[in-house]
Amino acid sequence: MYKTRQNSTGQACARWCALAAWLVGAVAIITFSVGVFAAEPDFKRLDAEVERVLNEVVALGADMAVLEESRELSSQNQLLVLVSVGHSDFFRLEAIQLNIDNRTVSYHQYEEAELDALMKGGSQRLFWDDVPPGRHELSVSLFGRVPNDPDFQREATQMIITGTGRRVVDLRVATGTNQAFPELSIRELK
Amino acid sequence: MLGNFGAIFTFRCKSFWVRVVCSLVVLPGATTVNAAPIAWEHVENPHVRAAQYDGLMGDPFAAITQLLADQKQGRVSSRSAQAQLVLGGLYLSYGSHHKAADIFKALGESNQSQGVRDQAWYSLARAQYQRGQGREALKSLQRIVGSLPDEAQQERLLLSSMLLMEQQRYDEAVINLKQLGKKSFVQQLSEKSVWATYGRFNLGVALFRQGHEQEGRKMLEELGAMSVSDEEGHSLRDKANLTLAYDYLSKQEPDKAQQYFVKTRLQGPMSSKALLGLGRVYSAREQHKKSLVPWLKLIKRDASDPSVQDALLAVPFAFGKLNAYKQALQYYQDALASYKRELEQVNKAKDTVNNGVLVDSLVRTIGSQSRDEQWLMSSLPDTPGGRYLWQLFATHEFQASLTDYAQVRLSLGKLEQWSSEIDDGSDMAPRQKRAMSKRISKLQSKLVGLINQLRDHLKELSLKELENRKQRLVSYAADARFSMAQLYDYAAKRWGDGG
Repeated sequence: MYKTRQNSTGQACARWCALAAWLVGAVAIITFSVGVFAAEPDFKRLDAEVERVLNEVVALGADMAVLEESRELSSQNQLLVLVSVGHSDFFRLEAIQLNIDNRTVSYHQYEEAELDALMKGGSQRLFWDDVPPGRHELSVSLFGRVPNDPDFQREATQMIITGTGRRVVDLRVATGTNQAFPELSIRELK
Repeated sequence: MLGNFGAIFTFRCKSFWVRVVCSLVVLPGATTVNAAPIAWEHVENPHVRAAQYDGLMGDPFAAITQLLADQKQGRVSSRSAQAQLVLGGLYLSYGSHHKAADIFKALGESNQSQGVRDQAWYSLARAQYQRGQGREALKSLQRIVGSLPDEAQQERLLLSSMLLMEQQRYDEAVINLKQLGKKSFVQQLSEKSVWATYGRFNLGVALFRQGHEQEGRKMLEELGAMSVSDEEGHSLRDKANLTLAYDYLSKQEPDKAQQYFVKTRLQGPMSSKALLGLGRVYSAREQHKKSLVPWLKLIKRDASDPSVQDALLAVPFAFGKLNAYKQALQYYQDALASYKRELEQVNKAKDTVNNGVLVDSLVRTIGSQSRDEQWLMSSLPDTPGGRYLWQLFATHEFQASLTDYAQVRLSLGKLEQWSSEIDDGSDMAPRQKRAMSKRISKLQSKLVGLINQLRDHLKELSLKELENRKQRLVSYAADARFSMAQLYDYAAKRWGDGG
């Protein structure tokens, strides 16, 4: 009797083992399929249709962006100021302040994600607006941290003339080859 | 008696081992390749750099639309290779794989510099990989002539190896991975390259499959003993140890298996499998009392975990082996009760799927996270019914459908906003206003149709998965009932009806 019971229990265990193996296998196959993609053809069709429609939305978005710019900004007086940052192991950018004719028009404090995007070669639009036609003084203050100096600052100034077409200015924060600390430069782009 | 059990167990373990290896094969590309926007260094045009910034900040839509607007206004040349590479990367990030692939393919076949073409082929391979076009992705990777920048080069080698392994071309995969492992071994000391670690793990598995067990085992042993500081490293180390442990268990070498099971952390995604396996080690040695220690610990965990569900039946089995029939019966009853509770939860989860709550909460969850966050593993299982669907969440089809659904809904919101901007645009020419409104309205109806189709599709996938879970639980419950009946039967025969 004992033998019978044990055999049956063994069979039951075999069943749960089989089930366990099947379950883990199912998990495995599904996990593996993350990279294998056994998507149904129906879904592929639906996914492709979604992509087509979303691309139409993107195209409309581009037209809306052109329209919005033409409505809000003048093609002659607009000024775009971009920030780009070179990689540095010693310097941590904290904020940038932009003044036009001694009036602060932008002050931006940087978060890690923003610094990361800048270090990877992106440029941030710090200021994009109309500026009255004429001669203007652009002054930029940079705030950050370097070893032994938590209040590191740099300033730079440049004159620009607006009113004769769209102006694009690049604020570049970068260390030179023999420099430990970064320099701030202002360059008008053609 | 154990002999019978052992024989079946070993047989099962053989297929189990293969499956465990499958489940443990690390596919970092599946997440990393999908998510990370491409960052091209030294981009000259400031508008392209600004688009790149938006893309890196997780807003590919804004990046693409502004870049296209800049192109329309002549600020960016549509022939610029850098602009095309960035645009392709942004489309890829946005989920427009076909569009991205078209851009990269045209660049790859252009007369641009070799560096640009290599980057284009590499990007095309990523796009094809995301579409599930493994063979095409491999062909694209093989068209790269020179070396790519550091991280891209490592990713290229690893992606090639994974694709070769998918095609059972293990010899070639091993050559690739050795190249990666060799290079990265040095790098690992200085840069702690995660690619090197992934590469070595995959290499170990590939060697196993190729029949070079000793070499593969050595590699996994090194990984299993490495010193790590981050969660990714810990997880990989656990996987290496668990792979080795289950291999030894399948070869009926429980002593060696135990060495690796105990190296796996008691917390972490692999811990339940480790506890289950450790119990099996003792069980294989007929040390049933000891097998109860990990199994009793395991059954206190979340009962939706398949390992826990296994352990719920393993515990009374061990008590049976110890002739502790009363406890065995009690634990079978507990197991049965637990399966019943889980069945109720599965039914509740079905309700949340049917009334749309699940899909909406999932969309909210992914909407609150950045695109490169690994949201599937961390947040989704906490959503209503989510813990029963985590296997489904890991599939490409579900992820892609959910992302499509979220994107379509987001786009619908944008159209509403543009529609009111157009309505308010008193300075717009009436003809232009009408044309724009017409485009918006046409797109709105297309998006609404897609929302319904995607919602139905997600619902269908979820209900199918829940039904599978239900059937498995029903089967477990039947096993528990069957064993209980046998125990009652045995007791009645041995001690009589009053026993």
